[in-house]
Amino acid sequence: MSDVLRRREIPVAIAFVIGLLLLVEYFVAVPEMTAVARTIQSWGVVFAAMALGVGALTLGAYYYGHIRRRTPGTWYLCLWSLLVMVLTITIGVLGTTRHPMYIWLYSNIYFPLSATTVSLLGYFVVSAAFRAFRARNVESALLLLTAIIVMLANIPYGRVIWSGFEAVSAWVLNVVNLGAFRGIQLGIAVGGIMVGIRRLVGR
Amino acid sequence: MLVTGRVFQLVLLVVAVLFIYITWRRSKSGVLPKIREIAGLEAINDAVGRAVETGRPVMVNVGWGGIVDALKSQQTFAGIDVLSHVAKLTAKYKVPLIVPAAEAASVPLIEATVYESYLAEGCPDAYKAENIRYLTDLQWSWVSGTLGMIKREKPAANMMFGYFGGDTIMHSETGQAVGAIQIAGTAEIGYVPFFVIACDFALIGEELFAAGAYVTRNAERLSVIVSEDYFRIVLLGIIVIGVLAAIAGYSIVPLITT
Repeated sequence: MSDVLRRREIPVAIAFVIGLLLLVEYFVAVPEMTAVARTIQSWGVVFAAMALGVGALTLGAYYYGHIRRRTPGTWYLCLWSLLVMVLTITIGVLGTTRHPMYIWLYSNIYFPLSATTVSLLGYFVVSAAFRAFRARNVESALLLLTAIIVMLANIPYGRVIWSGFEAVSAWVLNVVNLGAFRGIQLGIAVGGIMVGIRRLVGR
Repeated sequence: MLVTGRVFQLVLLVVAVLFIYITWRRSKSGVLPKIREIAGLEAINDAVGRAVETGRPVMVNVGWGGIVDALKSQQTFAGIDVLSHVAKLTAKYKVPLIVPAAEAASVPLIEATVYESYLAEGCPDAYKAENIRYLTDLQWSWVSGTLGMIKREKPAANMMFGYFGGDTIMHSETGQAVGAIQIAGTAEIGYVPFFVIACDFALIGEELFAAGAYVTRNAERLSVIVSEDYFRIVLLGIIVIGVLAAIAGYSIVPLITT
């Protein structure tokens, strides 16, 4: 029995039937089919929520393993993460996400930390730009030149140097860049459709 | 019966399925379709080889798109295709493989993919579940966790294939700082330049979707890439007809939005 349940064809068949149903529902307007599709989509949300619980357990087990083994440089961070995770889940489940303490945790811990991580982006961009914007060959020289023009067009001082920067930058962005962008986007869309069809038939 | 505005989309979908079927039938003969070389994918073996030499792990990141969101999931699936290949290599050469997962729902799929790869290489005992690490579903918390992981574990190879956003530069710069060979690809075209400047190899646009078939060299999968090209030719034909019609004073927009 367990061998039958482990067969790959079963999940593939389920995915195919559900995928096909949702696909047909997108093209054909039948109220009954729409209702079934909505129910299936609701199941998807429920499954994702269940997976979140499983994810929390997996994460907890991972942290616990490090704490138990006293992994140097890691165990106390894991302990802290585990404590914060348990505290947040407990308050969120018992008091809902509108509980003042939950809101305090979100506003004073999660949000500032998240904003700090995003802020680091500036430093990473500068360090990457420092390495990238070097005229090592023709392509990188062109990249450097284009970047300088676009940057100068976006700062007030650039217009003081030469009023034409804005027009050149607009041409680069709206003609050269946009043409290439749309071409690549078209290729990506086709690739995505084909991957979708391949996944649908389990290949 | 058919939803207004989606008839032409349906026609295109049928054409795409037909192309896949025709090329798939052709692939049954066992002849590998010829596709151009993708340097980034060719470098995967070397990157794993470097991990073997240095004794450091390999990190494969499939992005934070997850598998629930229909638009982002295609990229995650493409990333998982490459992950499957890399996992086979790490299993074969006994190199630790670390996967930081960003969406809880995708964790079972990633775990199963890696485990099946280890099983296929005949060493399921080498599979370590604790190396498939679910962090969080929130983008910046996941980024923070992944960056810490790169700093601590110092992977010899850092591969990123999937949906990435503004975090692209953070991952690739941190990988660069620890001296990892970096191969990356995303279909988020606005963020590809960051991978291009900070990684050793970058896949551009639809190369990500071709990656799974390319690395496995599976005739059936490669045939899908060929069908993509046929489909693109059809789309190019429609664009040319549209342009000619516009020059002649007609519009094909009402036809394709039927």
